[in-house]
Amino acid sequence: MKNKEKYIDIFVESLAIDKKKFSEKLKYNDIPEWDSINHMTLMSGLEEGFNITMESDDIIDFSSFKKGIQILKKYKIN
Amino acid sequence: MQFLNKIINQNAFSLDPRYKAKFFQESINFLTSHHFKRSNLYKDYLKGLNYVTKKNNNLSDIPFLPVRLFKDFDFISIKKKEIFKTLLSSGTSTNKVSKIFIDKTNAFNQMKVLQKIFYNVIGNSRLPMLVLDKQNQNLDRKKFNASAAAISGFSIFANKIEYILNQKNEIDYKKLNTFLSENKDNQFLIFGFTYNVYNYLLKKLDPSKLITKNLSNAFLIHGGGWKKMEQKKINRSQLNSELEKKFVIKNIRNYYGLVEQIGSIFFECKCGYFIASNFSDIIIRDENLEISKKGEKGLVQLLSLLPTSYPGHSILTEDIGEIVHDSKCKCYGHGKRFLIHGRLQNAELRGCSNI
Repeated sequence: MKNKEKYIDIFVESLAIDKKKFSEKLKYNDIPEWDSINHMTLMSGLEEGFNITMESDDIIDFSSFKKGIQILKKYKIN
Repeated sequence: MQFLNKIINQNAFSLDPRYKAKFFQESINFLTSHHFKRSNLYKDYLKGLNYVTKKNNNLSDIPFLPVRLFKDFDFISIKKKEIFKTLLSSGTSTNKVSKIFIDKTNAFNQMKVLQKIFYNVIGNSRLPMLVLDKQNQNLDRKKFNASAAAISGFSIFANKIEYILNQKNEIDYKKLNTFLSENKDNQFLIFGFTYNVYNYLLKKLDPSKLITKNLSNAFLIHGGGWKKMEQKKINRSQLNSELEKKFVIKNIRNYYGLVEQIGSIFFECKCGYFIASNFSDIIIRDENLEISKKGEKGLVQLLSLLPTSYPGHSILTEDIGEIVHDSKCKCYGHGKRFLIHGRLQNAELRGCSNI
């Protein structure tokens, strides 16, 4: 992923997590910071950062950092 | 749960009635045994009914929990440390609330199923959403009441959320007009509780302070009960025609659901019926709690495939409903069509969504 650094930055910023706490193994609902409410903040962060509009099924399926990379491919973010 | 995985990626209204009947018989029997093994309280309840769990009991013979029991007892089928969120119903005069304990899997499935169902109402695109409420600034993330749970659930369909009220519960015309001017050429959602639709859209909102009185590109979704509306002597068709008269809002969809049963959410179709999705089903019972005759009104029993963390897969509500057989209605796809005719007369007065 070319945009990985930006992707990570948006994660850390949207979920307001300590960069040290960040891991590529992060999963939705695994840490208190990534709950259903911050999930929507993260989604809008990605939409703004990458200038895309995601569909609602992708919002649901965006269940981990890794899964997110796959989903973003659909929106031509590599 | 294996049976849920079988259908979770299909369209939410894909199961033909015969297949669904068999599928529900298997799944609801399975869930009954599942909870029997995991919840002592539920086990005692079934024993009290002399009920023996089997794989192939008739769907209509499987016991239901009366919804008010969730107010007096903590029914739970998981370990305490697995509780991810507690959903609370709104308070009533008795100040008792239902407590529903869900784990991560149940929380995820609920969102997933809501998306699968709502997809049939609006499609896959997310839209700007106007909420007929104020923003909840002190949200307890572990305990959701009905209203917070609904707003948070529906937020997945929004790409931007604006609240119509400020923190003093006054209509914020400035914010509202900004929202309306940004979205004058595109479809947007309005989401709120039925009483707030009446109270704010119909009564309090002053059209002369708005940049437009034509909200025909709005898609209004509302739910939460008609109890307070009955006091105002306004029914569904009056509400809809008043909204059309005042704001040209034509796309109005009421929804029906209970905090006590995750997975059971029903949106009105264009014909005005609620339709049960693949994930839930409805049975109507008479005053002796026997299955009602076709077309008769009675008490609504709801079944859902989702609840695994608490025994809420078969509950008896206090609502009066009627299953409708209308072969002309092709909305969404398969699924029983039904109407809700309000609350059982002598049922405990039950506040809905704190309104």
